[in-house]
Amino acid sequence: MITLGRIKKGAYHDSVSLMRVGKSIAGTDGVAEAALVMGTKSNLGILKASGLLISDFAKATDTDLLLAVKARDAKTAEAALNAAEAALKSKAAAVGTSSGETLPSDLDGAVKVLPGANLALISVAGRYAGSLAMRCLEKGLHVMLFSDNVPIEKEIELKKFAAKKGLLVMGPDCGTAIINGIPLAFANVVRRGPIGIVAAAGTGLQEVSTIISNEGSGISQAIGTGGRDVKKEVGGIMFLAGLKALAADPQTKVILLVSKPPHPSVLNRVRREVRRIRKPVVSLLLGAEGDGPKTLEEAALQAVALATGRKIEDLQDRVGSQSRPRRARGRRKYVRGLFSGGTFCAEAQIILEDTLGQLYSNAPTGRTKRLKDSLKSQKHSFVDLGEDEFTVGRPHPMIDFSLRNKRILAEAADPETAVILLDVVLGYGSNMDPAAELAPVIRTASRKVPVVCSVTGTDGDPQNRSRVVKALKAAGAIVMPSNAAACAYAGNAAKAGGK
Amino acid sequence: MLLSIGDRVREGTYCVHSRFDRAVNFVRGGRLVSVVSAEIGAGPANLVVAGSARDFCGAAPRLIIRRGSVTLSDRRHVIRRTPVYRSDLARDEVPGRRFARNFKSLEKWVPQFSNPWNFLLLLDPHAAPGPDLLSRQFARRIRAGAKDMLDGLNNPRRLARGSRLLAGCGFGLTPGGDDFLAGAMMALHLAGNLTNTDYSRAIATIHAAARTRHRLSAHFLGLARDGFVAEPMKNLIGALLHGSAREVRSCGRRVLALGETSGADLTAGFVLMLKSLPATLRGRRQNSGSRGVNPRGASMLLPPCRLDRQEAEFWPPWGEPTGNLKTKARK
Repeated sequence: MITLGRIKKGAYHDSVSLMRVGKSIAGTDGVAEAALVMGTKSNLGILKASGLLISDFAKATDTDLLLAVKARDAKTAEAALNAAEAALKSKAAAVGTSSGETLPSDLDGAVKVLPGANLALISVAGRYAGSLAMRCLEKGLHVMLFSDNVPIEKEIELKKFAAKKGLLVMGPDCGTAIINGIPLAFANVVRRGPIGIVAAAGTGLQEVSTIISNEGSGISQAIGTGGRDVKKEVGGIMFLAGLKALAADPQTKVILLVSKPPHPSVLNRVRREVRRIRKPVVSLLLGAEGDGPKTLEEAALQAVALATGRKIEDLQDRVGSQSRPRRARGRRKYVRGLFSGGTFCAEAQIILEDTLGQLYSNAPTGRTKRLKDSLKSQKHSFVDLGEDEFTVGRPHPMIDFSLRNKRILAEAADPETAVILLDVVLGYGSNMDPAAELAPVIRTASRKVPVVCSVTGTDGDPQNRSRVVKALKAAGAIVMPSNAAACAYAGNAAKAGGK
Repeated sequence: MLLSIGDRVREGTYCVHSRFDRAVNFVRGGRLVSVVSAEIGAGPANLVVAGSARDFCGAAPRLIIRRGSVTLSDRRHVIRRTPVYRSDLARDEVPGRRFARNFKSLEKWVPQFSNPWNFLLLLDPHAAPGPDLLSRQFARRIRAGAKDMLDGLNNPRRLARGSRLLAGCGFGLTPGGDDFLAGAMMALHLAGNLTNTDYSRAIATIHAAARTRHRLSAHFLGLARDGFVAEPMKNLIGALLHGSAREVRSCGRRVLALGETSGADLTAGFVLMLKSLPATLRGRRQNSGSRGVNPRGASMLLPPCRLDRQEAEFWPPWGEPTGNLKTKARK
């Protein structure tokens, strides 16, 4: 083993960049340890204790960045150091202004840079996002509002204004959309095709669009509206506008509606509008009474059947394909659902409330009760780790698995846990290597309890769904084809464990 | 658009030091001014702007602060009516049960944000260091440092030794150890104000042990030594004293969101130091070596940080702040 290092005079990077680059370098072949730290006395002490201190570092000051690598030979170490420098440079260039790309400082500048643009994606602090969105609408641009914390009064004002001008406001808090085949924000690489989607549920949109694509059909447009759109105050303004837009779109042959539980008044308005449309409409309004699909998977398969002319029975019987549930050892009887997607958490509660009885959640839906403490499960618990209480100060759980990994191990150690239920969401914006982060945790947890999960994504996604599924299965996870199937499996496993 | 200006911002020509999306730092000798976006919020030496700080500053190499104006490249912003953020910690009432209850809730809540590279590791009984040797050495060092520092509050040599172990320790532009020490000094200021106890010697010991040539760290540590805190931390303290557990968590989230790991490290230092001062949490007043005025006489409810145009107090940034209770009390 050889240790080599470099001093970058006066270089600075944020701590997360340094840690990520260090971690990725340490994971390369032939590299035993790697560190990227500022040259303070304390850090020199840590490097010494880790066997990463070289004599040159004595010249470093508190404001210098130190790169140290311990590798099997000098060539590997040099290559790792070069890779670390290149990674830091590319990170700086990605956020910097030195790349030569024009970065307009305001909206007028942006419009000048791209005069043909007709959609603005806004991601600024919520208190400023509303007025910026209004300026975009005034310029005739459709808006995707990724920002949250926009006051509801502002949302109503924006949506009313947009509706008058025939424009769309997707959001606030709209995390997913696919417009003209382009995935925006957290979205997947799906085939283009005849099914148009309007969704007031981000991960719900991802689940149905990927199932449709995996079943061989495709998406014409997928319009997100933000979860609050179907509340009484907003009145479903954009949900209805999206529905009308798809009805008028010649490329859309089937319309699929997905939403978390809407307000009854909104539901009635949607139903009235649906009756006027001549195209087939499949609607999954989670938690609403009536006929029609009950899960995201069923809704997606129905849409595929309508679009392709195939019989729904001929489509893969995903829910029925589950194997006999594995029982946890001992008298473990409760399901512990740990979700990164809010819609999945809601769907799990709706699917399992009749099977399991009283459920608890930090984001309760239907008859589910609120958890007293989101950090501590009680009985059958379903935790949405994407809720604000978990995401301020850290990346979303679709990106950063650390919090959920800890919780998985804690739930596995709980003698009452019968089964752990997870979602893994792939696509742009999500963690690029979910299997690598989840596999060690699943391996440990699944020695005590079954870990069942679904993987939302396609083989076209940067992470490649098949590869992720294979790795998770190898780690001991039971991977089901959809969230609904995973929920059904978990419910059966818990019932079997309780006996 | 400039939203607010910190009370420790002084006139002068500053050169750019570092640029991030949400903060661009400018320095002049030992002084620092940060142009920050609203998510970071007001601070003693912060200019808060609407939108991205990086976009606001563009490629400007210098920031010129003059009487009534701030100039970046050729863009001049008038600041005569810009609200000024007061960053000092005012004296408050002797804490009661609410403070103890809220503090307990904060202490129980924050460990969930721990990871192998931040100092909240020290508060998380279930935390394990990362699998690599570097992470294990980091955890070992910060545990040893924190133990010495907190056990050594009455033993200056041990306090200094612990502080030295922590100073400059960790990753990023401002190492986490410096943020941790700043949080600990803020906790000592708060405890001193609440219980009318003089912790100035302990604060001076920590500050001296943490001496660094790193300009950013030196600046933050200096502000913490003098008891000047940023808006998110001030709001957290206000919530601990007068708010509900929910408000504590809400304000806590804003502190945790500072920087990449800075907020977590600052919170760790603040919580661990307060935890080691049980008298403060019980609401008892300590008498040993106390000086200053009767806290009732100088009592002032810690106001929430108001930055509305109508309500904000303004004084020119080149003048000395008025109405600083701590200054008055020591005269």
